Amino acid sequence: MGVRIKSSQDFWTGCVFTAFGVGTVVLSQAYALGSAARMGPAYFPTALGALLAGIGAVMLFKSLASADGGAVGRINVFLLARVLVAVAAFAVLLNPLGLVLTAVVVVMLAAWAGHEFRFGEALISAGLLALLSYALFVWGLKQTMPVWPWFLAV
Amino acid sequence: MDAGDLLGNLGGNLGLGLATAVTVQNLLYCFLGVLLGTLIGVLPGIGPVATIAMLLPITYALPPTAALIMLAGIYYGAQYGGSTTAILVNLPGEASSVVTCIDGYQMARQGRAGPALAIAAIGSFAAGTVATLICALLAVPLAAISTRFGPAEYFSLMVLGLIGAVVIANRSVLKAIGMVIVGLILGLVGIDVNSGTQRFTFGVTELLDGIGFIAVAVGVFAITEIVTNLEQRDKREVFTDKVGNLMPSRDDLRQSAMPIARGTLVGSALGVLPAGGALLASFAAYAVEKKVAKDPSRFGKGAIEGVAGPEAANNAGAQTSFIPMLTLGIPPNVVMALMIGAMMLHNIQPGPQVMTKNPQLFWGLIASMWIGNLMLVVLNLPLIGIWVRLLSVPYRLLYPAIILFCCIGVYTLSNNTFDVQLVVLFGALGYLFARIGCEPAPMLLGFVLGPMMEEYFRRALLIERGDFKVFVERPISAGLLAAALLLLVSMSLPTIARWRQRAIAEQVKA
Repeated sequence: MGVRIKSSQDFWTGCVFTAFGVGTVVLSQAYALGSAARMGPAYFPTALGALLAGIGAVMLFKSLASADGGAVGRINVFLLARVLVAVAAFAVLLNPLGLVLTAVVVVMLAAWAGHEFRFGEALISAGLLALLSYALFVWGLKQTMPVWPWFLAV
Repeated sequence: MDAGDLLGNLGGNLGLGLATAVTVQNLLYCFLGVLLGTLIGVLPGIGPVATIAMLLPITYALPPTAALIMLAGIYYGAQYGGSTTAILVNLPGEASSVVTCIDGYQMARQGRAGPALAIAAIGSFAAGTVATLICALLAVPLAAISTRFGPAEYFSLMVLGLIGAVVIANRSVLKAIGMVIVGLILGLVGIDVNSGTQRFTFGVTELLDGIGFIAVAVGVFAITEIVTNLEQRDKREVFTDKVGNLMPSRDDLRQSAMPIARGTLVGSALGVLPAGGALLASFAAYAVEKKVAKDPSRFGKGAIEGVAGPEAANNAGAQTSFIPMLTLGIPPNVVMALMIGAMMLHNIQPGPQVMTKNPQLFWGLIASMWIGNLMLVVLNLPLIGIWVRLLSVPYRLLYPAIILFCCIGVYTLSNNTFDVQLVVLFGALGYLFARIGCEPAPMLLGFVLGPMMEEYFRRALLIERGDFKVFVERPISAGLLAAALLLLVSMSLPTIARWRQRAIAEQVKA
């Protein structure tokens, strides 16, 4: 039972590559494979998926054999999630709330994600950035997008 | 074609280019590009790739030529901005300015930040001028050769380009190749042009045209970079008060002249290679300077040659890396992959036909390279004080603004919030990939090349009725594949492996 993972980075890379490769091959089977002379839509992705799964398998093997690959550091899930929430907020809020309010929310959420969050300062910069993005994109670059909330829109 | 003809054509072509680039409109976009590129690029922790990905949407509404001219300007600006950050904060925005950190930051600590910044600008300009001429000279014959390429040659060229790009700049070749394949597969999402089949769309209408390429780039570069930066709380010393006197002394200029010339040569030569030229160029130029120096021990302690050579090489390489992109449609690095993506957004298929079908765009872009470099000097020498002040803006105020502008930019591409959702997905993926030691750059190269590669693979085998020998029986194709194989094998040779380890270790250290 001497099997130990020596490099967790390599191990997880191997897992991801193998899963992604196998997944691609499996999903591709829904399409026509064809032959080398007349390739169907499944041909190229099947080949790529198999190749990737092969590389993944080698990585898995390597992670047991050598520690060169290093270990996975701490994954800061909360930080990542908070930054992504700010981006997601833009996607969700833009249509109902319009650009100006959305910008304020996005900047506030993004600032809150960091470790130096100061409410007052963030609010001021959110206000300024909302104005700036309105001036730049709506007024300057003439992009069409919802600007004001649905209940104020004409 | 004899030399006289060649020169005559060169004059005519550059004339056409200048006539295109020197319109009020295009000059303005070039200027705006350089200005915005420097402005964003100077912000610590934002490399040229993130800068371009972020600013790309602004150019979308412009006519194609103006858009590419502006993007090229953004690229030079971002690179120069990156050098500024490297010198003043010891924070390389990208791998190729790592070398600038070594002696540039030391100069800044000795109160000579001004001359370091000025030499970086002057060196970049000199190198840019020569490299522009090289681009113009090489483009026509290269494009002529490439018209003899069939699908098999293009496929093999892409293999070589991808292998070359990943082998040199990445710690683990196997991981990088895996990431290229991940990118190639992601690039296939959408309707298959040959059969009309929807591949990997999971019934999502927005995916029929494929995954938005800007969304991927913003996700894996900009968002991932922000999360990674937020993780590191260490403070770095910024030399903003000590910039003071900008002008290099006569001695500085004399000492830098030859390094700039050598750096230009090294950079131009390496930039053309389908293999992440700029990084290699600055490392090689630094090594050359150290080797020819009378007193190599000065290096690492603020030697001006250690700034002049690599900066010139860096910029020359950045310039000549346009050659494979423009003439063959093969991106030698991620920035060029972004340029190809931008061209495709404007319905221009990159490749040799750009020169014949869109001569104004092609030569206009080449001429604007030189104009962009000129603007860089004109703009940066007087404005350096402002860039320096920007550096002292705390990161906690910067990154929310970056996130907001990324969102707006991605949204305006298609006026659809779906692409912003993709940014969330790829931001998460990019961060997790970074944690397991997989770099996103090879993935993006694969992503851009995926559909083209499949198309050439298909056509090559269709012509030869499914005989895989076509790739090794045609001499050019066989040569390209052999070169790719050689590159792979050579990386496992002990000496080269050691050299790579050292270069990469230095990059990690800085």
